[in-house]
Amino acid sequence: MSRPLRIVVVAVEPPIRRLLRTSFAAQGYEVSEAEDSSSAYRMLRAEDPDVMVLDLGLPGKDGFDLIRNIREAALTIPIVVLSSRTDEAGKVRALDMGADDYVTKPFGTDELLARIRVAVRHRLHQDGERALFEIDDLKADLVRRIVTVRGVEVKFTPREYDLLRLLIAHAGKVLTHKFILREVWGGEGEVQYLRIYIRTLRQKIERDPERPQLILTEQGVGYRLKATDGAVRMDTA
Amino acid sequence: MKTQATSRGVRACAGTLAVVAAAVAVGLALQQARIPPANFSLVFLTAVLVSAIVYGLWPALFACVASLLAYNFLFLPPLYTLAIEDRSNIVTLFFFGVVALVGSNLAARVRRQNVIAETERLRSAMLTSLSHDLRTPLASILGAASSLRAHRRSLTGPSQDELLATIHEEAERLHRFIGNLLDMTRLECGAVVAKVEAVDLSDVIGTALRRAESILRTHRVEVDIPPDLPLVELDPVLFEQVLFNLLDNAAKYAPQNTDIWLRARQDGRVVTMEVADQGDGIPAGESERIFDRFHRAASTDRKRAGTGLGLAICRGFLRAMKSSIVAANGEGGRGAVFTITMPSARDLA
Repeated sequence: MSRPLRIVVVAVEPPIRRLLRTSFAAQGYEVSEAEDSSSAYRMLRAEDPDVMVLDLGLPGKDGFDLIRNIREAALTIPIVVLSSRTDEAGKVRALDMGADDYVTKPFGTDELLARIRVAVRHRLHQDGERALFEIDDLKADLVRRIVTVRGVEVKFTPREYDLLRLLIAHAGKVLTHKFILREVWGGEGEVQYLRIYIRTLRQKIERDPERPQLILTEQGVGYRLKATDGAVRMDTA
Repeated sequence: MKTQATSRGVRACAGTLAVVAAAVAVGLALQQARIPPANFSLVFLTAVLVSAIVYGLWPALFACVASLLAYNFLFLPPLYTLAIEDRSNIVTLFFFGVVALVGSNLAARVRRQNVIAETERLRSAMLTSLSHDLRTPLASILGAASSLRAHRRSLTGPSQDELLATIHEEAERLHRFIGNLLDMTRLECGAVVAKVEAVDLSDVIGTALRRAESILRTHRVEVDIPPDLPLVELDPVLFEQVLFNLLDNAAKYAPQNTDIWLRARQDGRVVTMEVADQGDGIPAGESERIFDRFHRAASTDRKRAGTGLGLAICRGFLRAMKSSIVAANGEGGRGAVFTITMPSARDLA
């Protein structure tokens, strides 16, 4: 048995809530709405929803405080934030505090839905990493450590492989520079090293490294590996 | 600002002195030709008026005093003293002073009005741009939305799609314009702080191309970047916007189905990058003016005219990250070529 995804929308602006409510309802999701962080927090405790969409444009620093409170209470609910165009620092901050992903306003609902599904799927699979990964021309067998592109095996240095493996483990999700440096370089490297490794990886796996389709850059924030998308339903225990 | 004002004052003083010196030189030449010195006053009067037109009222008054002294000292007997022998010369000198004062006042007023007219021109260009670029997409969006609402049942499927596409595209246009207005405002408030880092140029090109995908559907984009190009020192977020604006500009001014080239190469300690299109190129003498706010290249086809902000933002952002941009026409005067020069990052050890 499965049930529809339960989603909580936190936004001050009524038009944004209306847009999200109608778009999510069209997907068959169950939607609850909150217009400030304290009622959102109560709703989270009472209803135990599957995912939260949070507009960072809440008055004051409310949005960030909400993320912090949720993570400090060890709640693992996936959080996707809505942020504005010129606020890269805010996006990075929200992600570092424990948000799972973001979309930049104005956004298409397709994009937002894709982010939500990825975030929820990762939360579901968190216990076990998948051994086989496939997207477009790229196939990776993480147990045998074999990566092929268009059927041809590609060789990587250990660090390149670690980087690719990290991207695969979080496919579809944005990873901040800081997170990648911590996971792959133990927090010692600089962003420019990461940029050079990404360039090398692209030259090895992308069809046209100047127009990457697999490893996408989120300028000023980090990187995202393309992932396959598909409907998400929650299993009922 | 203060140092700027001081250096302007110094320049005005020097310029004024040069103009008076020129008048002295003409006077000496006339003296050689044995023309009576009473006529020289007109030469100095010209110098005062020129100073007023070029530099304004205070430099003109300065020129007036300098001229009076020089004229008296060099040309009115007894020579090389400030005494005056002939009474008629005192009258000449007095009226020279009066005419110079009145004249410089008038000339300075004309000059002020020119400055005001220029500000006025910029302001009206801004208002025209604002009302046109905000209202046009808004009108289309409101119109399409209200038709859909009122006539949903009688509209055919394709017409509905067309109205929806209008809403989408025009909203995106509005979004771009508002983004430009915000960028321009941030630049003018000095709120643009570049976060310069060592960045892979092809990475920023990739994200700019992805963002510009929908406006570049009508053009082919060719990218030519050496795979071993060194990293460059720039702010990736601001630079992406620069490239986006240049691509937007090329898509607007170059005809459909033509090529847009993005080329980069290392040039000693700098990296130069070119964005070249196959449009009509930049009109003669406008290669600097196109970077002015609200300046749009003259176009008979109103549809193509941009917002007049994109290139000004490019230059402002690049300055903020210690890079520069110039415009020229391609070989044989065909197509516009924008060349960006940026520092290459020091080698990574």
